[in-house]
Amino acid sequence: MSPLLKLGYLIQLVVVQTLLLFIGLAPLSLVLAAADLGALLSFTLWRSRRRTTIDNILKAGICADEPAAKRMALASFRSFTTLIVESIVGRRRLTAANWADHVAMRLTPEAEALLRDPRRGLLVASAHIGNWEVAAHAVSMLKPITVAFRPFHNPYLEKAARKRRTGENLRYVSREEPNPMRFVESLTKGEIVALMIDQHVARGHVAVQFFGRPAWTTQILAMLHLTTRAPLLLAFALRTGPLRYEVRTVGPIERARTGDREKDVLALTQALTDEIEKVARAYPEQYMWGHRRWKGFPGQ
Amino acid sequence: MTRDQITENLRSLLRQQKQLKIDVDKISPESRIDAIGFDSITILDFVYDLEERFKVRIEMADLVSIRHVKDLVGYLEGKLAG
Repeated sequence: MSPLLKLGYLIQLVVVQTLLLFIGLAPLSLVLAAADLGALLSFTLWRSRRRTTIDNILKAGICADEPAAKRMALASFRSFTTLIVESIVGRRRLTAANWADHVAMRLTPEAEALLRDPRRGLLVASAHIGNWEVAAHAVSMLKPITVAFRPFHNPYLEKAARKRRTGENLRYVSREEPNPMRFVESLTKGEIVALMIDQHVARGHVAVQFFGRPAWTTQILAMLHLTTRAPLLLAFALRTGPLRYEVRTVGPIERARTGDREKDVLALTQALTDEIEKVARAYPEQYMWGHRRWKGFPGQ
Repeated sequence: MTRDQITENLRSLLRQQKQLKIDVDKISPESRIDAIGFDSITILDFVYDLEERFKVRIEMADLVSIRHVKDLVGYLEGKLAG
C-alpha cells in the first residue's frame, strides 16, 4: 500500500470514527435530522448516484415520470442515511432485553418454527430494503447468524466496521474468505447463513429477471439449498418509525431438484428475486435503488 | 462399483467443472479436498453433480468431515454398498 493511499484510508477512518462518536452521543431526533440533511446533501452533490437511482426507478416502472422518480429517489437516499444512523444507534440500544420493543416479528408459522429450532441450519436471503443491519441483529436474538458481506476496500475501516457489527450471536464473514465450506459448517451447527442477493455479482452468477430485465445474481444461496437441503427463507426488516421495525419472512421457498443443476439454480434464484421484487414494489421508498443492478447486459 | 471406478468417476466429474484450474490427473487419493481449488460455489456444484452421478445423498455433516479424496471415495463406496 502506498503511503498516500494509507494516509487517505486513515483520514477516512478518522472521519468515520468522529461521525460514529457524534451518532452515539447525540439524541436520536438530532441524529435523524442529520441523516435527513446528509441525504439531501448527497442527493444534491452526488450526481452520478442520483442519476442511477432515478434511472433505476424509471426502468422498474415504479414512477411514470422524471419528477415523481426524483422524489422517490430522494426518499430512497433518506432511507439509506436513516439506515446508517439507526444501525449505529440500534447496535447500542437494542439489547436482548428490549429488542422486542423495537422490532415486531411478523413471521410465517413455518419460519418461526425454523428460527426457534436450535438444531436446524437455515438459509436466509435478504435484500437492500428497510434496515438489513437491524434485521440481522434482531434475528440473531433467536438463532446464531452468519452474514456474508462484501468487505470495504479500506482495511482500517473494514477492521473497525467488523468489530462494531459483530454481536454475541452475529458473525460477519467476508465473501472473499478462502474456506469454501464455511457456510456449510455454519449450517451444520444449526446456525443461519444469510446473504443479500439483490446486487450485481461478476462471478458465480445466474441471470434472473428483475423488474422484467436481466440481472446477474449470485448462485450461492440456491446451491447451498440444493446441496444441503437446509430450508430457505426470504427475510427483511421494514422501518415503521424511529428505531421501530417489522421483520417479515417469506417461505420456506422450495423447488424440487430436477437433476439439471443450472435449471434448478435459475428456478430458485428467480423465485427469491420475484419475492424481492414484490417487496421493492410495495415499499419502493425503502429500497436502495442506487445500485447498478442491471449492469453487464447490452443496453443496460 | 469398485474404488477404482469411483475414483475414475470422480476424475471425470472434476474435469467437467469448468471453473477449476487444476490438472485432474495429478489428484491422488491422498490429495486434500480443500487443495483442489474449489471456491464456495464450485464445491457445491461438484457436490450436486456427485449426488446426481452416483445417485446418493450426501449429508451436510458428512460433507464437512470429508478431508481427503480417499475419504470421499470410501464414503461413496459405503453409500453405494448400503
